[in-house]
Amino acid sequence: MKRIAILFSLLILFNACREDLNESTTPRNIFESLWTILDEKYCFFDVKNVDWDKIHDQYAPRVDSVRSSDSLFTILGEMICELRDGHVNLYSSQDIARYWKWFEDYPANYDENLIRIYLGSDYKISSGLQYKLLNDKVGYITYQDFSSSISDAGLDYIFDYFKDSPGIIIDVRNNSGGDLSNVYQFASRFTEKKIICNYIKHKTGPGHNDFSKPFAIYLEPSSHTRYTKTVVILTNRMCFSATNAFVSVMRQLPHVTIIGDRTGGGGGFPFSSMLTNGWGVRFSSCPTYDANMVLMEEGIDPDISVSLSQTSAQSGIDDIIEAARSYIKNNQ
Amino acid sequence: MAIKKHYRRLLILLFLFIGNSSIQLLSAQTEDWKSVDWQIGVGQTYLYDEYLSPLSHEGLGLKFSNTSLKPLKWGLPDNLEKSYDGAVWFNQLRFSLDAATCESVASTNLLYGNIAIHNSLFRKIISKPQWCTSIGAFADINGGGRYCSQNGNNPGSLDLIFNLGIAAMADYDFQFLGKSLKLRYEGNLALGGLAFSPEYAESYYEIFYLNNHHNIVKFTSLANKQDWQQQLSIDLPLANHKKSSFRISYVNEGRISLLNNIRIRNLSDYFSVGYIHYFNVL
Repeated sequence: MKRIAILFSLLILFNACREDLNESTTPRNIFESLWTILDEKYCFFDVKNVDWDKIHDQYAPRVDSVRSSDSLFTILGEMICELRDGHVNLYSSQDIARYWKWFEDYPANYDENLIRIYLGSDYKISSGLQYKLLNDKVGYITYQDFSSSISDAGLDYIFDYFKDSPGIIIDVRNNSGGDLSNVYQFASRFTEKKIICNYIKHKTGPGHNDFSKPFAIYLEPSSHTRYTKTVVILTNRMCFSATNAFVSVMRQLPHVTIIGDRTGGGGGFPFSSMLTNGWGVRFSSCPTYDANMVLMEEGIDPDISVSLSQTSAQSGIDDIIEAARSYIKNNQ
Repeated sequence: MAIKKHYRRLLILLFLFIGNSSIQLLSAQTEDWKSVDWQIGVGQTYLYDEYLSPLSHEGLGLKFSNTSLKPLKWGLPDNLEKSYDGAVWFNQLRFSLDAATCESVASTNLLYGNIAIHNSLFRKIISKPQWCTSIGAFADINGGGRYCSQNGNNPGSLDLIFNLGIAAMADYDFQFLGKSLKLRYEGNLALGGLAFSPEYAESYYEIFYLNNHHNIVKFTSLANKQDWQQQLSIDLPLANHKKSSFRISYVNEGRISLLNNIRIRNLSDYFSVGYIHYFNVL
């Protein structure tokens, strides 16, 4: 009997091993949970000059007087907007809290109706790309979402289709990002040699300055058809996240020129987490840099700054596309 | 170069483990008896993975295991004619498969799966008519992980673990209602090994797509990882069948780790039922 008792006591020895967590759904605990997730995992406090402890002290008293879920969501939404980061969102079943001033406060420099005029009805579609030979033989590609994959066979066809063009325009205006693997797959068609195109860091601990060393990301030439004539990338403020990364990669290439407006930035690779009441949170976790170790979070200026004018738009003319066509003709 | 050094160590350890398992399996051809049991269990699993979520998750766990136990000829006279009744060394090889679906207070879901191959070597240290005790060592390999579909760029957390540790087994034979029953306790505790771990907020994209393999293979010890399994089982002989028994077990296992500042806890309790068969018993 004594031996059996010893055996049972061994069994329960390891049972009291659960993590000591506060998982209540009180407004205060939800606030603390959100604040702590960002405190430990968000990567841009110093870059954005945000005193996160001060933000805690500023918002905590407001949370204590909350009486409804909507009110709590509003307060927490305002808190995350203090980070001024388009990659930081709070998700509930009824709304998404976001910071969009990085494009809302600026001219759009993009008109979908004008794009339809340029594309007409005889444009071609390959995966996420729509493309056409304009009447001056300049190739035009619009890529609206880097979440849409592109096929190697499709790209081979497109470059063959444009083989007699003096150059091509790649319009990524209003493309707010997507899958980074599509960025490098597409960009690899435009380089003839292996280059460092970006750097990435990640957090190694919960401290605000706990980061890894920068890790170089290389762009290697694709084994498929590569395009080395003049390329113009069109940008506006809505070029964010993966699109921002695409612009940073492409602008290093000697035959590529960026025309349009500054990109919206979004240089933080985002992670996700969850609050005890089921609300989700997304936040920048891994900072990314261009090849010169300049942080990409605040956006990238174009080589040639061009804006869309109302007058031209009323005549069906997209000044940014026209600037690109003119540039290609003068730089064949 | 650092990447290749980690992989070399892993490969050497894997080779030794697989090699040892293969030798044991091959030596089965000269062994006198062995027992094989199959068990299926259901129970409760508790998961906490800081990389995926700040919330704990609990839910239903399932376990399947297949274990073989056989005596070894070590220490016995070469001209032994009778069975290995006097054997003091035993080899146990266990294959197990775990799966669980767990939920948090926020109704988020975490899926868990693990495959393990566990190879133990025991030496009998106490042998009495009614009970015996063995101690030994083990090596195991685990592959699996956790998956949270609600997350974006960090939906999964991979377990690739190699353990070396100590093991113990105790058997107690007794009579109950005219039946010969066996109560068995098995326990093992990992003392060290190797484990894969991303850094605190390192994406798997960076590890596997961008090929940043820095600091992802960690040496483990009791200081940063506690990994154990305990099993208490009772064997009930099947009627008129000397070689087979019905086995009922309670299994408690856990893995608590703090690697690269990431806290992970996997705790499970199962009740299992199974069948054990003794091969070549005279």
